[in-house]
Amino acid sequence: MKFLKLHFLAYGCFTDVRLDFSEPGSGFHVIYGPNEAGKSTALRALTGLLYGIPAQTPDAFLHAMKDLRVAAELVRSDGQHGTFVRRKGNRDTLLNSEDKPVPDNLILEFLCGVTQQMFATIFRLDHNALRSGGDDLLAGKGDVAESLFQAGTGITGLRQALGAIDIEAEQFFKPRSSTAVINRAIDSYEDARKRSRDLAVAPRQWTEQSAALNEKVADLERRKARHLELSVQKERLERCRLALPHITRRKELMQALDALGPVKLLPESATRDREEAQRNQRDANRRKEEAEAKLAKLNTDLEQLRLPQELLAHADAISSVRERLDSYRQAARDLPTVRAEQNQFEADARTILSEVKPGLSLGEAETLRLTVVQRTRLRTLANEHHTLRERLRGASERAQSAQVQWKEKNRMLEQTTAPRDTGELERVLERAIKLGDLEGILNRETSELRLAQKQSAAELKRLPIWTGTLEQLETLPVPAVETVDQFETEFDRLSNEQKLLSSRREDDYQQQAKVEEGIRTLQLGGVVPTEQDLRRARERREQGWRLVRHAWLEDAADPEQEKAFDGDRPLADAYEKSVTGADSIADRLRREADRVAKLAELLADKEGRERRAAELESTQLALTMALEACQAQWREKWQGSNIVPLSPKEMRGWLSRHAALLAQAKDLQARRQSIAQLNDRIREHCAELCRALSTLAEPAKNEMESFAAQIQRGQAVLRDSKNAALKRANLENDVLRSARDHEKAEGEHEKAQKELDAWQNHWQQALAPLGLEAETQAEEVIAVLEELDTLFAKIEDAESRRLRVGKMEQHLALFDSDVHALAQSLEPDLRQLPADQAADRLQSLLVKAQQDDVRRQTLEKQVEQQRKSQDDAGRDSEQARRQLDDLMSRASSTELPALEEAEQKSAGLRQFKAQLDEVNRTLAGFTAGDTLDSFLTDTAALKADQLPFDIVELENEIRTLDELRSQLNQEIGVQRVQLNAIDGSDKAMIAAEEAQSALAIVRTGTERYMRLRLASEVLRRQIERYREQNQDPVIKRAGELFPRLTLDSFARIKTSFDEKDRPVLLGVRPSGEEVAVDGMSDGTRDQLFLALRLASLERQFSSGEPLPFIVDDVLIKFDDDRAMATLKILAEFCSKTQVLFFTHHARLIDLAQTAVPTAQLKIHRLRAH
Amino acid sequence: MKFVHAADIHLDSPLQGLERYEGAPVDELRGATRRALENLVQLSIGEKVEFVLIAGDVYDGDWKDYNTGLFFARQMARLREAGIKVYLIRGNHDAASQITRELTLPDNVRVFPSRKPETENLPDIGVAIHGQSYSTQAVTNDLSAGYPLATEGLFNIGMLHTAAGGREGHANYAPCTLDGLLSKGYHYWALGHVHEREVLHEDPWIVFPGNLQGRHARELGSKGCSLVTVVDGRVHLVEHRELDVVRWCGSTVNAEGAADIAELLERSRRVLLTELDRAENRLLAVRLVVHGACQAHKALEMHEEQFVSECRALANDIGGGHLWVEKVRLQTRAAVNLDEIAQRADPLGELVRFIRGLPSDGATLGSLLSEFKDLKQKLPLEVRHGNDAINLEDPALIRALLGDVEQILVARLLEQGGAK
Repeated sequence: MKFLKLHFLAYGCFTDVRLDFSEPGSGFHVIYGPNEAGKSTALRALTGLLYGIPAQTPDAFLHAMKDLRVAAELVRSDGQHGTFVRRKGNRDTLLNSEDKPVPDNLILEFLCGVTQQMFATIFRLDHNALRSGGDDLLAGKGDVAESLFQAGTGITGLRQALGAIDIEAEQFFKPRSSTAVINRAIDSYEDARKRSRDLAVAPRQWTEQSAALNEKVADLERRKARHLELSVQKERLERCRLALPHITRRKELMQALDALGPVKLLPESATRDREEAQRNQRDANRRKEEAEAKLAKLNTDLEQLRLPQELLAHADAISSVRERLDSYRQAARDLPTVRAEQNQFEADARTILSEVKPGLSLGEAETLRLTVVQRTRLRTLANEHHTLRERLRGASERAQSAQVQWKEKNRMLEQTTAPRDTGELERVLERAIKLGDLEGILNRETSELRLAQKQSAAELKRLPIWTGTLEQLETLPVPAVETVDQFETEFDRLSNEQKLLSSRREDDYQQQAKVEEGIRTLQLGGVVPTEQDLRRARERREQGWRLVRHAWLEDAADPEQEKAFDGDRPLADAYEKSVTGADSIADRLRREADRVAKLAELLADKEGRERRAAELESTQLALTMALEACQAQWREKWQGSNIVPLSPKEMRGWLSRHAALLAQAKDLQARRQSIAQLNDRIREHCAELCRALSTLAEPAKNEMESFAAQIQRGQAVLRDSKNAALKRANLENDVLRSARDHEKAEGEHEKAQKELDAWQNHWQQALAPLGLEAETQAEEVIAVLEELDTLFAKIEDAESRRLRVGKMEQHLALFDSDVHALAQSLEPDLRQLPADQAADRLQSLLVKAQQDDVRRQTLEKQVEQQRKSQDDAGRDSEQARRQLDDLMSRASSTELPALEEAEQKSAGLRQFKAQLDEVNRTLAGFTAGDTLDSFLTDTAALKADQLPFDIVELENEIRTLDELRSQLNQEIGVQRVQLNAIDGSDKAMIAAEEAQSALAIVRTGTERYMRLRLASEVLRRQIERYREQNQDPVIKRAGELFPRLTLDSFARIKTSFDEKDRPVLLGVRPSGEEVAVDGMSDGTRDQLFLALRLASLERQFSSGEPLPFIVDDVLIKFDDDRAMATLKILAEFCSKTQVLFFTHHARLIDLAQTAVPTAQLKIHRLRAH
Repeated sequence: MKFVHAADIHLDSPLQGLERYEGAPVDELRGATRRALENLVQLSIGEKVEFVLIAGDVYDGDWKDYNTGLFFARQMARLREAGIKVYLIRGNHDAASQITRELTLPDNVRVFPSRKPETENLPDIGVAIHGQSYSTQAVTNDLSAGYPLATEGLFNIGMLHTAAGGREGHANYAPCTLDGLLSKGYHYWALGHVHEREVLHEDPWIVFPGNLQGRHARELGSKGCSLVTVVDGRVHLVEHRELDVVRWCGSTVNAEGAADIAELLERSRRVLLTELDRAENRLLAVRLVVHGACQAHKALEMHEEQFVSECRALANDIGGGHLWVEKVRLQTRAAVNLDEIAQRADPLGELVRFIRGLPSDGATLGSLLSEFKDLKQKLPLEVRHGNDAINLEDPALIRALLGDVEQILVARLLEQGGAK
């Protein structure tokens, strides 16, 4: 692919900048842009054109993102042209020369699968890439394989890429690592699996443990039973031993009871009851005496108490006076102050009145008081005045402005034109749009048709035997497929028969050879006599005999005949020989009968076979003829089409391709028709549209205008007309609206004037009661009103003070008279005192009298209590006496001492019985549920001395059992714990899940590791393969370039092996000195890489479609001589592909002009706009 | 009358393929087969069923922990307390299990013998159950042939552990035919052994209920038992009841045209949300397959582990402890046309052609395999055998990986060059 033209329509700093590469013969293009002129921008634009402009681009500073555009004309080595425009956007960014979107793959066809990255690496060389290449050479120590691979792809950092894959793989697995993912996961897996195994309980183990436990439990139960038995026995003996002292005590008590004799049993509490009754009697008598003494003293105190009854009777009246005393004293203090206030208010009122209406007295002031209605009305009117005045002014302004507006709109309306009728155009457009993108369809169909035509032409060219056009093919008379089938069957049949025949002939021939071989074999073992031989021998003998007979019996010897019979011998010998000969043959015939028979059989067989061979020969002839006839017929069938047919099978294939071509021809016809129809429709609608447009006085049609453009224009006209109509309608509305506004404003102005007049009227009326002039201003009236309010407030305050003074004087007089009346009736001495002091004195007298009365009531209550105590003590004494009498009657005694003796006896009886009960109870504790009597009987049978020994023996036995039991219990406990630990827990399963989890990591890691490891290994091998395949030609060519690039500082490149046996590159000086890459200067290494790179590219360009080679300022570090040498080599590239040499060094232009033949060189200067 | 039909409990068989990672719901997922069995018991009690049928494979064959048996016995005891009987046949795994031989089950569990089929008549509820257990692991004859004909006047149920006509992924034990089963005149055949739920026939019903709990990424979707309602001696309703605690699912993320990893994560997020929505609050083990040609392929290939971690973090974020990303399988491709590159004369084209020619190059495949001998020595046996085996001696393994290798190398080499 080559660039013919590049056109930066709007990109970065460029606007409409064109680069023309199309000049014939030119192949080396220097594109010169000084700094800031946009050399890098041009490179980006070029990539953007081919692969799309990236979403984030730095090149949208002059032109907006959406406006960025680059165009180019491209040509392929097979001559195919293409013109493309690339715009910035998300979709449909590739356009054709007519600005119509086209699919991206149209431009990709020119790029032949080279991706953007490949384009940037393989087909581009810049200073940085050259430097990295040189560095990589050093890093790889001139490794041939790596260097070649890198030079071939332009990929740098191959070594790092491989290293990165290896490092990544090692993170997953390393044979002896403990941290790599897989190694670690395997450790976890083994650990979890072991834990799972340890935690799992084998089912058999559980069964066995369980059985052992059950056995132990049963043993324990048996020992427990024995233990119980012994314990019972021991316990019984111990009981008996312990019961023995109590049995003795029982006997003693029984004897003591007998000794007591008959006793009267008194209640247990008898002594206590008696002593209590005696104590109660004494106590009651003492209390009675005390009460009597207290009564006498109380009565004396009562008699000494005296009370003033009259004072107490007036207690309420005195208290009432006392309560009013405080307010009396307050009133006496306040009276002078209130009087002063009254005078002050009256003076103020008079002053105000003289200001409002001089000459009027306070009494007449009332004439000035207004009702609330009058006052409110005055205030309202005063307030309204300002509003009304403002309203009138506003209305008048609005009326003026509305009038101006109305006039303006009227003027605008007059200036607009009347609308056009676009109905027809709209209908025509609607029909045209409904049809869709007819031209697009037409274009597509046309290009599809072209493609189909091309395909069918190619197909046609590939059709063998026959040449001609598709149309000729359509009319070509060819036989039907059925005919071909028929011939094929016939040919097959004939050839099968022929095959069969020849195989039979082959068989026969082999058999015949075998027979002949048999005959030959037989004959090799000596001549085999035949019947024929015998017959011939016998005939000779007969002939001899006839000669003998003639000579011997008829004596008519015939020497002639005899000589003929046997010329060598006399007749007798000859005859004898013939007899012997015949006999010998007969004998041999008999003796060698088998061989004879075999030979006879073989000979007969041979004869038969020769006959059959002749038959087959004739059949073969017939078949050959039939085949020829058939072939003649076959050719005849094709005569009409002038085709010499191949075999029917091949011709069937031919026919199917023929049929396919016919179908294509039909398809082509259909496409052509469809295109013609489309064209007709477009023309028809175009005409319709033209008519519609011309009725609207629009230009009918531009020569170059497409149907779509025409539709667009029609739509624009329609849109414009509609807009104009809409604008005019809006204006008319505006005029109507402003007329209405004007009228309304006038009305409002008039209304405001009327309202102001009405107000003036009301104002005059409202002022009358105040006697003010009609011209008085609202603010003045408001001031008068406020003064009047103050005046009336003062008058009211003075009035309220006057009323209060009257009330206070009345109150003071009433109190004096009340106190005086009380003193008169109760304490006449107090009348001399002032009323308030007299009231205080009366109060203190009353308090004293009330205290005395309370004391009297207390004394009377105490007397009552003492009387009651006296009565209670008498009753208690009587009850105690009755109790004593009752006790004595129960003991059948009349005196107290006898009662005491009976009490002692009764207590004795009771004590013995209680002790006996106690002993019995104690003994019952030893019987263990047996009756006391049978226990006593049993115990009596035991020997008391023997008991302790029996018990010790039992104890020993029990202790032994205890030890055994404890041991068993311990064992059972341990086993139970073990068994209980098997509780259905899921610990083993959880460990198994952990193992599975680790296993999952192993799997994932293994997959990833294998992929990475394989990738690295495959790449290594491919690098090595590439070296093997390309080493010789590439290094040879690079060896030619390297001396030129180094100005013969080096003579050639050679490969050698390093200490690790790797093939490495060496430079060879003209003197024969070999220099390794690490012995070269940076610049030389760069040139070595450049030589390799150029040699690889040259090789690649010789096969497949070459892309332009972009060289981006690679010579900036070269001196002039080396730069010149490089330019010469690059110029040689022109024969292979286009070279675009970007630079911002003007010096390089001069060098290029020297180094590159003028015909090939073209200089382009970039200028930013 | 209702009864429950379950099979293939594989109690304590561990879930496979779940890598643990930061924030993974490990506790929630622990002992899933046990939880599923508890769910079965709970369902039976809640639905007040007359009896429970277990059509074989209570245990996992090589699992030897007696605790497992005890747990099973305990669950059966719960059913006994609720007055529910259990009818059980032993499957191939049970026959292989040591637990079966040593464990005594509660008396509400009736295990059918293995010598010959037997019938359990339950006249009070009008049911006859026929069944036969496996005596050995591999039963290759048609057990159903020996089953008696239906008992007249009762609702007849046949219990059989079988692969029926053979099912993929299941050993063809006790093979039988549909016609053979139908010829017995039973109303319901309770089958077991096949882990995928399948109704082979309706009225009479022949049902594989599937296993109770999926255990790896090949046992996808809802798992549980069949709840059967019988009215007037006929099957009225057969319902699938979900019992699984963890559900396995496989989802694909279409990476076509994705520009970067962030976009892929967003797409993955949407896919995960959809799956979460479907799982109805159940724990979900998801395998994400990311496929398609995209710009993001390079970044993805070079940072695969990081992407997987981010997917998992995402799952933690939106799953609220209900989402386990089992595996993220990357099947993305570079957004370049490798077929076109393969036709080019440059070293890259030759690299692609070399890789594409490898599958038919036995010698090179063999030498590539030898690169993995260290790994092979180290890998546990379980990885190299059984399901999803990674057989390091099989050239087919390398062949399968070569497509990935092509993608890895093209992405990295172009990345390397493109960086300039």
